[in-house]
Amino acid sequence: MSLDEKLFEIKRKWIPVYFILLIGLIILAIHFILMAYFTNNQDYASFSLLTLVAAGYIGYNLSKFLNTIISKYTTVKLLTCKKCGYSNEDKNVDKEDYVMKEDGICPKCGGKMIIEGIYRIEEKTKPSLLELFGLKKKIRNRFK
Amino acid sequence: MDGQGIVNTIMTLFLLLIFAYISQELQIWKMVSEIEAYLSIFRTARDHALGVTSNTFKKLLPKSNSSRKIEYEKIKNIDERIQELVDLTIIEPVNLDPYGIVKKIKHIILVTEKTVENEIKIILPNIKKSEIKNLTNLIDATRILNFIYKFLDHNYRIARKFKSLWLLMQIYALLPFITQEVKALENAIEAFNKGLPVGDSVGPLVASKLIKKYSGFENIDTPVEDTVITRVNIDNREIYIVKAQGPGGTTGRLDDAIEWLFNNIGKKFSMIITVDAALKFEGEKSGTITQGFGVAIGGTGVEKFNIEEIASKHNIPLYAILIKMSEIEALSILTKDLYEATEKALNIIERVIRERSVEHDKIILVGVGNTIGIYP
Ligand SMILES: [Zn+2]
Repeated sequence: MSLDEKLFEIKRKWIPVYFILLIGLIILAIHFILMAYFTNNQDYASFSLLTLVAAGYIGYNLSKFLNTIISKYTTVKLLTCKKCGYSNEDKNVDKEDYVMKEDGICPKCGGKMIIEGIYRIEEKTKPSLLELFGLKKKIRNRFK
Repeated sequence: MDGQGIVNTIMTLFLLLIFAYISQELQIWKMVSEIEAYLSIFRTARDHALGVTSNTFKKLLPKSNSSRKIEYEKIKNIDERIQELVDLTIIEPVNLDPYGIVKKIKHIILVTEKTVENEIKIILPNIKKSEIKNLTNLIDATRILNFIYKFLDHNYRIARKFKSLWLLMQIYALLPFITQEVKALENAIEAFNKGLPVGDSVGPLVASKLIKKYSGFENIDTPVEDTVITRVNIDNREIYIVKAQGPGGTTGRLDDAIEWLFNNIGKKFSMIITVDAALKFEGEKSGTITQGFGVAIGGTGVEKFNIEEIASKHNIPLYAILIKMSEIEALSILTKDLYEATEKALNIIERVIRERSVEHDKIILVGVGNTIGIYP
């Protein structure tokens, strides 16, 4: 588990709570609005305003959670042919690999390939609603 | 004002006080719970690092057919030795009288390095030099993680003991920065364990690319420990490229290498160019390249001091090429953006050499940083 994942797990626990609170507040607000409309009581109007503000605040926080972006990384090595300059990215990075190591044969001309660079490529994904609510255990695999 | 009014006022004041008290308690509770959560995260990060380190050691242990009991004893012994190495403390020299302190710091660092490497050699007698370097890096990262956790835990315990809001607030305010560092170190553990280049390796990577481009592999020499020097020809200028010796994770002894060049090649260099990773500001894009003047070397400042000394003594211009990145990127496996930045840096160096020197000049180029996963 990486640190990002752990932080996300801690935050994720609060999502259902926020969600229930939001729904409760919205119901309450609707109730107050209806009461204000039918009874013409000023108090109900101000109550509805207060609950709407609270609902807005919680909704904003929830939307921040829902927009969490998770990065996934793949490490690749950039192989270039010494002879013809053909190059490609290879995902099989070995523990023994290092930059400027001769590695494999060029598929085009049969010359020797050299590792020109080793780096990681970032891929950004957004977890789906189900994953955020912990109903789907896909998140864990995403980090690997 | 009648009696009722006074009672009402007092009641209101009393309620206000209670609310103030409750809100403060709530704030403390929120801070405490958040600090505790982070502390537990830092502790797992530390434990994870320890686990990775000891696993790496065990994997490198030579296979033997001795009985299970002896094997068990061996493994237990290794865990103890690793804990010892992680708990090592480096005591800085006293700075009351700072004259000559750089020499002392260098001495202490070299002794520490040597001793840790020897310890590793004793535990694992038949491993490659590059593996020893990577293990040293791994232990260093684990040591810092261990220190961060212990330090924070200590402060937190004191704050709790004395119920000090101010101490808690200080710890709370530091959390984002510490988290940043812990994240960086956690990524570093992964990179060091696999022996792959990190963001900090951009300096040696640029040097290595220059060596390849101008075919300097034939002239490679290692007159100074852990450091390679080679000579290439760019536009009829003699370029001496200095970098740490890879592919093991080390930063080399760049100051000693430059001193060696001055003693053996001559004193007439037209410039010293250092290429290094630099911390970016949050708003800056990773991989931005900026130029500067002076010596671009971080760390303890020993090498920086020594190179500045020698350059100012012989009146040699110091140019720096900086590749910007975040703290996390500097210790994580190299990103593609940063890799592409090294190509750009290469072009800038060629331009600087062409524009700021004339033919037959001698120039020193230093690739500064950890050369993990990068040959030569
Ligand atoms: Zn080819």
